[in-house]
Amino acid sequence: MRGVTAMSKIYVIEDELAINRAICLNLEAAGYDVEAAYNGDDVMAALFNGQHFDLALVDVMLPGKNGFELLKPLTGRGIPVIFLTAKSDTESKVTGLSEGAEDYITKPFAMPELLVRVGKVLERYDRADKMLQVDDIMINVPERSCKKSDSPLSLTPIEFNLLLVLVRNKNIALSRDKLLAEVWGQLFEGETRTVDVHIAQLRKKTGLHIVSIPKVGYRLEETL
Amino acid sequence: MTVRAKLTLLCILLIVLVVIAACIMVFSFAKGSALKTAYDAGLTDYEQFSRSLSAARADIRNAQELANLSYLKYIFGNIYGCQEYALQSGDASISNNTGIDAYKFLCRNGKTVTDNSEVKYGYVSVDNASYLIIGGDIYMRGESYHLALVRDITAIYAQVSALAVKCLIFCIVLLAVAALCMTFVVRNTLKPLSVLHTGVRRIAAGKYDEYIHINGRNEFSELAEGYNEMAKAVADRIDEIEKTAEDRKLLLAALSHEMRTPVTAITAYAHSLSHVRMTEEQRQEALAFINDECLRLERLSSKLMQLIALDSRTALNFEHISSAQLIQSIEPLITPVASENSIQVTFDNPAEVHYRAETDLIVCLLTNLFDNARKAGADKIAIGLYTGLISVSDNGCGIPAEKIPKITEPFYKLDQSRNTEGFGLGLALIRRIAEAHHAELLIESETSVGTTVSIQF
Repeated sequence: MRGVTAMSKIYVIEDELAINRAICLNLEAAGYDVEAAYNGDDVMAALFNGQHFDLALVDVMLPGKNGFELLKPLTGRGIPVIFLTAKSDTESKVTGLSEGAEDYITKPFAMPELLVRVGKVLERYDRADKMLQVDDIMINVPERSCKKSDSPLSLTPIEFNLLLVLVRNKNIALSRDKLLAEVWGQLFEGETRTVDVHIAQLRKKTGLHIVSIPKVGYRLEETL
Repeated sequence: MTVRAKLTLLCILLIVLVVIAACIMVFSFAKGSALKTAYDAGLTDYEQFSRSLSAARADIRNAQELANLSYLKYIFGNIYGCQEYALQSGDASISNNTGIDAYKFLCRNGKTVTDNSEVKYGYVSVDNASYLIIGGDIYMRGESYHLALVRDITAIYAQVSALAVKCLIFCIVLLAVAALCMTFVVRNTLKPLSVLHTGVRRIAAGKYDEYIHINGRNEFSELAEGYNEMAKAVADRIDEIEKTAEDRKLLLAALSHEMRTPVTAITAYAHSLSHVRMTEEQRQEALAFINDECLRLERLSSKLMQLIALDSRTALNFEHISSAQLIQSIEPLITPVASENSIQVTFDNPAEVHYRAETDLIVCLLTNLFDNARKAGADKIAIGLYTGLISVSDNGCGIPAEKIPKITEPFYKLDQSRNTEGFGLGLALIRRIAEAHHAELLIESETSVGTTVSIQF
């Protein structure tokens, strides 16, 4: 059983320093535990030392062992792999997926897309955190229950879903459209005002810092 | 109507006309000559007959009028060939065995034999029979009589007609043979046209590498040669265009690949700056990365611009530069970098030499070669300036032999995954510069010993 403080651990294997750092920055902000590697040989060494990860983001073109060569050692240890690469040709995409990669993201990619795919793969592997904590708010995802300083908090299903999305992307701003799509569903043709109303409601009930970022959207900020 | 059909028909028509004209001429000559023979014989016979008649009449003297006439009739009947003659006195017929009123006919239609003669002649057709009539006045014992020869010449006409029919049949056979020959000759003569046509259609269908061959030496074979030259020129041009297009495609693919990493990094940091809650330190780091990646794109762009500018230039500004001037131009550019990286640079210039080149381009070439040597990890770089040869030698990591042919391609890097600071454009640029100077680029290298790149003018 995972402890309350345990976070999904993600291995970022990418040789481009700038891109590696950008991915780590976003994942860390969203609350993941991140470890970076810049070449294939380091990855092999880490795996031999018995390190475990919940997910690996792997660049195909790597110095030392390349991404495809790392696939078997990673999946063999039960670590799902998402490939990141500048190679957009379908052939390598098919090779990657047929040999057991979970997903494939082609550069240039957008960070929100990467975060969504990471979340989906973790959910599929049941590695998504079941207990989430932000400040004094504790969320039990399977039970869909929520506590504020140990006393139960009553939330409507919409409010619970909204809170879940915000917590899973904590410290990262989400646009009103994105929130509408995630919480109300892609087909919901509501106005963005709906989001504002529910955010106000959630702020009142939980007392969390849900900051409105001009021209961007809302961001749940954890007290540092 | 095709040219072939037109030409064939025209030739046949011409032959028909010539043959018909010849036929008509032969026919008329034959007829004329047969009639002339008959006429000559007729005239001789007529004169003979009239002389015989006159001689016989001269023997009779002082006979009475009636007895005279009977006697005349008698001697007329006794002369050989009298069946063909008619004799009359004034309008009264004395004897006529011919059944034709020859005197009346001659008076109306007769032509005189000669200008001064009283003898007349003419041709007449009666009841499918043709006759030659020759007649005139004869004087016997002071009296005038009319004598006429009427000769049946139907057989002569029949002969001529038979000749005409034979002639016609022969002509038709001749025509058929001539038409056949004409068709064959025209078809053979125009055959090269269909060969050319096939060739032209092939070009239209995009097959440029097939040539045509026409036998002999004539206008068509010259046209075929011209066609082949054209096809070759088109094929060459197409090849050139295709090669350029392929090069462009590769260049664009490499360029977009090269741009992907910096663009991904810049978008990622820009997005993070606006969406992610970051510490001040992280914010500074993000900004620094954006700055670095932008500078990298800028370097890529300027390097590429140099390459493109060189590609599109048609003429260089050649000038005579001495090796000393060249050293003077390069030294300030490379010495600071060399000392910063503790690289020992030596110039080898045994004697003052001159080059016919564009100074800026040669300086660009040498600095690029210097950069390559530095990136290869060299600590000793020798720049040699000799007669018609400039070389840069280093003791860097070297280039594997199998990669040397590819190394001058744009965006080609020795280690594709290693994020070196370059883009793989340096040697591509150097090659273009060498080509623009009609110089040869030579690369000699040995792994972990060093590389020598030389430009041979």
